[in-house]
Amino acid sequence: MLPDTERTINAEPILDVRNLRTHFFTDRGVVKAVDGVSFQLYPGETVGVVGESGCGKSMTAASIMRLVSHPGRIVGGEILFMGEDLVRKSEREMRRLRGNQLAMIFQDPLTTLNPVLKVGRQITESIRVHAGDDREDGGFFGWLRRLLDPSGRISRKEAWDRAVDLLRQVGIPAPDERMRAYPHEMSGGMRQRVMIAIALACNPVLLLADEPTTALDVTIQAQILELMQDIKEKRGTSILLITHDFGVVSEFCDRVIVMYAGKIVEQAPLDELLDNPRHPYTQGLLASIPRLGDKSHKVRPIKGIVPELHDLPPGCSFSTRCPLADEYCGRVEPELEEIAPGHLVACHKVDATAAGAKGA
Amino acid sequence: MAEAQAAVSARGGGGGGAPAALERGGLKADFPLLAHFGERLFGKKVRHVHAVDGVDLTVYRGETVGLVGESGCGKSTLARSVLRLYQPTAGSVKFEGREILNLPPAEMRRLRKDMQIIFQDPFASLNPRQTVEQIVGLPLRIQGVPKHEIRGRVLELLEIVGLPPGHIDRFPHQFSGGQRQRIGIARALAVRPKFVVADEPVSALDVSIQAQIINLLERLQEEFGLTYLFITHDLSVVSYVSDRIAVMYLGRIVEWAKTEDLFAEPLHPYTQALLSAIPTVERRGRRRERIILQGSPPTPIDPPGGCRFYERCFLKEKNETCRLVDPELVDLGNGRKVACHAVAGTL
Ligand SMILES: Nc1ncnc2c1ncn2[C@@H]1O[C@H](COP(=O)(O)OP(=O)(O)OP(=O)(O)O)[C@@H](O)[C@H]1O
Ligand SMILES: Nc1ncnc2c1ncn2[C@@H]1O[C@H](COP(=O)(O)OP(=O)(O)OP(=O)(O)O)[C@@H](O)[C@H]1O
Ligand code: SF4
Ligand SMILES: [Mg+2]
Ligand SMILES: [Mg+2]
Repeated sequence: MLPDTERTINAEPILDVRNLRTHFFTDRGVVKAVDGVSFQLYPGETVGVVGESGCGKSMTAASIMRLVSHPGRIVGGEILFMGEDLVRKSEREMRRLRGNQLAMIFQDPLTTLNPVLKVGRQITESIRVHAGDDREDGGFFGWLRRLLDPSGRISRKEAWDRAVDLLRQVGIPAPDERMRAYPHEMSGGMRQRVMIAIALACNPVLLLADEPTTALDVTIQAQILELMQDIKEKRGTSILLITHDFGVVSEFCDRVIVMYAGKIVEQAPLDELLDNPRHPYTQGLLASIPRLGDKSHKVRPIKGIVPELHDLPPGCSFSTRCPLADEYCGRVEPELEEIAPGHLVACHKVDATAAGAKGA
Repeated sequence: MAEAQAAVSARGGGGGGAPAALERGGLKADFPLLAHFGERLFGKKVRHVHAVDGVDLTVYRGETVGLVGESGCGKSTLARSVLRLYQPTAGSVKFEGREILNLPPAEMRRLRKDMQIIFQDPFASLNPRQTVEQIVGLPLRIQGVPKHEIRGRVLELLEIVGLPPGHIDRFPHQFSGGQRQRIGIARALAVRPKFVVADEPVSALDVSIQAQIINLLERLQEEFGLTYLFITHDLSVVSYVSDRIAVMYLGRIVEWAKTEDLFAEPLHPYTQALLSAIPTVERRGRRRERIILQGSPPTPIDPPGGCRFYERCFLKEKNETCRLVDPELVDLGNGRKVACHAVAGTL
């Protein structure tokens, strides 16, 4: 569902990321994993984030969840979620948001699910924690408040029923039985569904999906994508979908953000991006994908390799691989500029890329 | 590199012992590799994992055969069995007309030179404590190339795969994924093989790097007349590199076709589902006719009798015969083979 432009422009964004910078302070130097990223996400919209491995996609999502761990740190910017800046929230406030209005599906379900707990327990736990607002927080006062007012919590039985219902919704057959299974007893696709069930347990407003299908086979991927599409239509959840698969983006997203070396280099509505890519990196990415069943379409690789994030070239980060780069590109960093409604590009040669765009 | 070419011209003779199923396609041209596996390739102590189960695979000289299928369906096992990195429990593998499953070790070692493998994971398959020279030079040393020649040969190989000569003394961790895959390719090419099995050579790589490696493999094929068995689960990649494609499901090949034919008209229901499930740039935005398969693939441990796809099959023609009788791979002519009762009309 493409959001109508009118609404997109008028509505308040659900998420408004402004000049976000997340850096890692390592022995080898400062890794600028996310370096000045700005974008908006509107209600009911699905925005895809693409880019090569290590370009900062996951760290952008982790920053929004405030789950960046040492030696990483958000060093600047704002993350306005429903008008409030997440960067300034306390850990306690964040915990209340995560899994309530804000949920994330991680790339590898095995590392996020607890291997020694049955999946039913994990889902009910998460339902109960969030239904019981912040009182799961440890400490004497949390305990006292739970003691004085037990009504805020939902019962084990209720949580169990809701969990079974969720598993059914994500298409797990015999959900009652599956509640008693351990994660390792499930296939990759099923575990990913459990993750989605947990993420949906609390009806999030915003879902961050980090490569939710990358580890899965295509037929299972199709099941999961169908499921997410369904949820999006039924509940109007906004989704930030991180992937490196342009195919997935093409079938699922309304808008696309292309990242390179910690920065957004292009951003546009889906059709505009595919028909009229204007950043040389986006053009290169599209040209390097083989076309299904079409041998005559020759792939054209992007030369060279991604630069190390702690040792970026001066000027445009893509200049070391760019076919159009000149001396100026190697010196001055290009700014993200709007070249058409909703189409932003960070490239000095954007006037020269239009013609090449067609053949690319 | 003239030697590599000369070696290839050794003719695939014989093949007289090939099973009937292969006669039509198998014997009319030169074939560097002819494999036939009987029952059960892969035995385990208590239960049998029928990782590969009764597969016929023929690869002609100079062509690229793509092998696709979901994770765990037995692609890698098949590839390793062909190279005898696993000893199949039964069956036969012929390379240039010669049975290799019962070759004595010394002869097998000599043959290994002609058959090489590029591994799935460029990170795990290189010894982290060895330099590029040691890694790429190892197969040369095994083949008895004198020590003083090795460095020169390795430099030559680095040039072929597009790595700067200055990198010869570096260790694997100093390279990117794409570069490591190039080292793996250089190692596989070191002994000038005729036949190369590429087991998911680009799956671990970014798209922009994938294209570099695909083009490199194609160029090497042209230059050295290589024959490839190209394994992947990425159908876009496989359609791009392959002349013919074999689709595997649960230890069996369920469809064989020329690449164009397969994409124009997939016949086996599994192939149909597989092709329809791939999200592509061309089919953007639309919720198209996608065949959503129910359930997940059954395990190869004690697979069901009858058609292995029965549980997930969506054809309205499917019936009791499918459940009970294992469909054979039927030759439909023009290089197309399918193992499905409904398609073959054996219901
Ligand atoms: N703990 C850490 N210490 C140092 N650098 C880190 C750490 N975690 C991540 N990074 C760096 O941050 C950068 C961004 O990482 P991120 O995980 O966001 O990449 P990504 O775009 O999600 O890649 P992928 O597609 O491989 O998942 C990477 O270059 C990575 O090396
Ligand atoms: N050493 C082993 N012992 C027992 N079972 C094994 C062994 N190696 C592989 N298998 C099983 O054999 C089956 C086929 O495995 P194989 O590695 O050939 O699959 P594949 O098609 O290459 O999958 P992928 O796409 O994930 O690489 C799998 O179900 C696997 O679990
Ligand atoms: S700014 Fe220059 S180097 Fe960067 S992408 Fe544009 S043309 Fe290429
Ligand atoms: Mg990531
Ligand atoms: Mg494999």
